Amino acid sequence: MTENGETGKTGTARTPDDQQAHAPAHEGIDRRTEQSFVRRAVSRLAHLVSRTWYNPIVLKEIRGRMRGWRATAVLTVHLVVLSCFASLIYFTVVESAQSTGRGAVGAGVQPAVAGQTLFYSSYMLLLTLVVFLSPAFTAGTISGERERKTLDLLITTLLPTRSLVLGKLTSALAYIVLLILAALPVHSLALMFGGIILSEVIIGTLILLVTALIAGSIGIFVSSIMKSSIASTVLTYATILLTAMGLPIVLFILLSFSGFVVNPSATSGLLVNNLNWVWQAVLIYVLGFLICTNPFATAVATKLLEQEKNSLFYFTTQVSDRSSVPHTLPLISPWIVYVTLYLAVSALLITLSILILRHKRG
Amino acid sequence: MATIIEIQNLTHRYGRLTAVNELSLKIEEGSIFGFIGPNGAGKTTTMRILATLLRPTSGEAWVGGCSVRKDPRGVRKQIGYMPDFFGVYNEMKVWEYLDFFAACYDIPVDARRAHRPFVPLRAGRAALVDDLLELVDLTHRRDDYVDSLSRGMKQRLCLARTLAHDPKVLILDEPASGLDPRARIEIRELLRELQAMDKTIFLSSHILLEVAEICTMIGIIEAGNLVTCGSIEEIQAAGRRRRHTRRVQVTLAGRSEEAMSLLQSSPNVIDVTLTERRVDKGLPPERLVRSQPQGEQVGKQAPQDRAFELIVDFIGDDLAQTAILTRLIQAGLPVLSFREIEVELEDVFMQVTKGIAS
Repeated sequence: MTENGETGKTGTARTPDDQQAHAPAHEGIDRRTEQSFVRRAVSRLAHLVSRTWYNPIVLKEIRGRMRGWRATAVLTVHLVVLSCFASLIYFTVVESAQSTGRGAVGAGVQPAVAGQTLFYSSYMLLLTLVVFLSPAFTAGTISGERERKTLDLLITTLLPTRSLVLGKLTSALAYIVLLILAALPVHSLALMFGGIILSEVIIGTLILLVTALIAGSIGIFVSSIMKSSIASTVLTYATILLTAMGLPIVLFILLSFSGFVVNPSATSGLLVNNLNWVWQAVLIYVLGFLICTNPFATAVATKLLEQEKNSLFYFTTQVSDRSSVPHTLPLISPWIVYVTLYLAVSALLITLSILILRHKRG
Repeated sequence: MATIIEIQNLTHRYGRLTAVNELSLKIEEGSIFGFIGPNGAGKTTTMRILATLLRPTSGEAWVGGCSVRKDPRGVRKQIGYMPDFFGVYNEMKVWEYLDFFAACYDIPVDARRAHRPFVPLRAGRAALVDDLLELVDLTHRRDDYVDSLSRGMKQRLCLARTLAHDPKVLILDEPASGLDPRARIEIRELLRELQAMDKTIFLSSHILLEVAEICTMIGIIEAGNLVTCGSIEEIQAAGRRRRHTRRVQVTLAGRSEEAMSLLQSSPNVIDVTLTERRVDKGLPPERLVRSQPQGEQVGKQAPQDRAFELIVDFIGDDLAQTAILTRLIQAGLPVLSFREIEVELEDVFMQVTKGIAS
């Protein structure tokens, strides 16, 4: 396809007469190689866009999903829940400010506090919704085709397995993005009060998107293994519950029992008295990594570290034991690790799904 | 005529069960091949291998020169596969269903603007969809949802789907099963039409008579083994040979007892069965007799409103058959008609398949 596009373009740029009569052979080659890199890149990009645009699976899925009452109902419920929650938070903030008398001078609420509370709480709710909604749109897709026995039909067509898997994922994510975009007005309510910076919004959205991607990829992967949609959905939710909720709880219990005091607002994250500084460093990195495996912990930790260290990307922390001088440890902000880690994991899961499906066609 | 499907020593095992055993087959271009066998004989397995959905345990198959093992994509380009279930998306409209599969077969929306982004989606593929709908006579249901169609219509829609990329070979698994007689006839007409469009059709059925009429070639499979293969005439001849007997039907205007004993005593004859048939009362006896020249003088002796039918099984060739007729005539018996009965296809099927199972 790429070659076709290119030859088509050169054909229109120069008429065949030109090519034959005037241009010496070597000059033509030079010009071609000079342009070819940019042109190839552009043509590849256009090809990619057009492949996604023309992916019949995307069209079919979106058509099927948006048709009927279900899509509208989900969107409505989503918005009702979000706005009820936001109102609840708002009134709670106002109420508590008045009762504690914090606003004795300013009469009422500090707008920045209200804005931040609104934003963070509605963001957390949205993150929860994304974590639990995205797999719902992917967990049954491929196993559903298998149940309806349409997978065989798709395999006998010329549709590449890649398009099948990516199409399913793209269409599911498209709907999630729609949900996120639809929630924008609720978030902009928080922006009216102030106290929110743009970088927070951008990083927050990025975490949301990556979360949707990884949750969707887990769904796709499981549904490409399982025979029935119900089994696939159950297994997907079990996996996601375990990583999003179970793992942090287990970790917290373990850490409390083993005598560490976990204090996320402290700079080091750990207060360990009797350990060698190397062990302290290892613990910080391990704990930091585990925080980065969880979307909620990542979001919270990113925010807290931003407040503490005033950096959204890179910062240092110090560890010391009794014997030595303090050592400085370089650290990167959790959201970067989270985004990179889960982009890689979903790429892996998607590739695996493609390979499994390709292998299964026998 | 070139060979378009070739199967060589194809074997497929599911664990210990051998579904297809050393199957070899050649199908000519433009023919309609009927793959007949009882349920579980290995028809579907063979077809799924041809459709590149299963990898054979051993052996090889080619469709239009492409190997199903090495070049599945090449095979897929040439075949349209219809499984023995509908496989429809219920939330789709009829035209969308066809459009979707056409897109899966890489048919550009518009030949001129192929693979350029952002052109209106229904620009050119719509023409193909309309053609297909017209072919299977579903134009009037274009904008209806697929699940509102009847079984026959769904089957026709599925057939239209297999034609989206204009394949040379159609692999149809039980295309007529579960359909009412009318829908069956419609499917049969469609298959004839497709044959006229130079398609090779490989279809399966567990009922021989259902497909005997349209098939140019038939293969009978049982328990994974190809039992017989050839044109209908060849299979009938093989059945005859297998049975070693031929059958004639003799109609007499009377003296049936005499004829029975005469035939039973003649050489070559194995079995004679007599059935009495009443001739239509509304027909005057004279006319019946006058229309049969030989029966004129015996007509008076026999009860004129009756005819007797004898089914005679005998061993031998055409000469033996004429000898039987000669004997009857020489004895002065009132023979109204004398004709050979072709061996019933279903009988052949029963014989052939039973032979292997026992």
